[in-house]
Amino acid sequence: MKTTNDLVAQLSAAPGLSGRSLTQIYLMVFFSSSIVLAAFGLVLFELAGASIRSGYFNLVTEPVIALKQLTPLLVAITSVPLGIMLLRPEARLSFKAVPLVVALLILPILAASTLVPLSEDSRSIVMLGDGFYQCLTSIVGLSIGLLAAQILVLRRGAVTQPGGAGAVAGLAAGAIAAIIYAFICTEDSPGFYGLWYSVGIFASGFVGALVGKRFLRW
Amino acid sequence: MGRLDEDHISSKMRAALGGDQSAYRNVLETLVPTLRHMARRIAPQTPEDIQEDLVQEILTSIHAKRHTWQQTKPILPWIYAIARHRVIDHLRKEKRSPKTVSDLDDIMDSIAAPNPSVELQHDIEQGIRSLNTQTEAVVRAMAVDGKDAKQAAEELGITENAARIAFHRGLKKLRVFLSDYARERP
Repeated sequence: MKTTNDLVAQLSAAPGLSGRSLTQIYLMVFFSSSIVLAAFGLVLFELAGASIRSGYFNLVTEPVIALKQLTPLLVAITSVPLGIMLLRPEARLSFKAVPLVVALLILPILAASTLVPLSEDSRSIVMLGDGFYQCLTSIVGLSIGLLAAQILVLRRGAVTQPGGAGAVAGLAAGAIAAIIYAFICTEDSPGFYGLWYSVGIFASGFVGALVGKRFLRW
Repeated sequence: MGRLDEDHISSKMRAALGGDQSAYRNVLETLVPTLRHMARRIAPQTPEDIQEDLVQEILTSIHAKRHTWQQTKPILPWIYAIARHRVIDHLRKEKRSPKTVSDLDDIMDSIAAPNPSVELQHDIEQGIRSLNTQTEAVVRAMAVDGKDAKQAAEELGITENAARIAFHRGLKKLRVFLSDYARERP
């Protein structure tokens, strides 16, 4: 067996470090993957017959439609700093996760405040919309690509909370996927998108936690 | 063992990451005694070579993950986090009944911020043990248990005067021992 002295001698012969910091790498990978995913996703939707909504930029000035885009964006914006933090071994998820939790609560609250006052019949019509299935599978499906990209960066870090880091990466990926999906999504009731976007984002977070637990060990 | 110096290690490590190999060697060599001490405390029953394996695993991880230290942040919490991660992993692999995580945190914490009184107690204990039997008994009775010379003398079956003399000689030796001991430390 190698003695500890030999090991120290061997390790200390390594050259210094150069190149980009982990934070830079995480941000670069996150943004470039998001853009690639958006292009890829929108082409795929187009091929499947779902184009970007006509007059999108007029529509998006309406508050309910703006919220559909901005709330997932808020989730993404609050989760990325957590992802960067969790690259480091000493990081602990704590009160620093509060902004993300708040951002995550907005959509469910929007959904509840829309759905609760409705009569039972109209509630189920709003809730189910034209097809929540497409919404869910699109969000979770798209999120996989961005989750994988983040997991690759996280593996270069020293993650000591694999489940938590994976969940944060999954939530961020789900949120970006929801933003992309919102470009083609014609369901404008918060009772619909507040519910199903949330389910999609949380499902992505759950997948992320599982993947993290499995792939972020070192 | 002994307390790790944040400023010393972080400045050496910055130099090391910039390519200064002797600084890096200095960092690793500084860590070894602390890591050994920690390995002993975490797994006192395991053979020394297994404890040494753990020390080497931690050093290797620190090396492999050295790019994850942000140079503007303190380095000791980073080192302890890596050590803690390796220790948990090690205990899991060993499949021995691992100490509870809270025990582990106590141990890690005590190394992260060594409790001077615990260390001092340890050193004093070493010092007292180095005395001869009768002096040791007198010092224990008077300095540790707080008895006076008369009580100590009665218990040990010596005269009060002999107890006083032994006590003063013992303290003198202890003082020399502790100052030597302190000098040996990094």
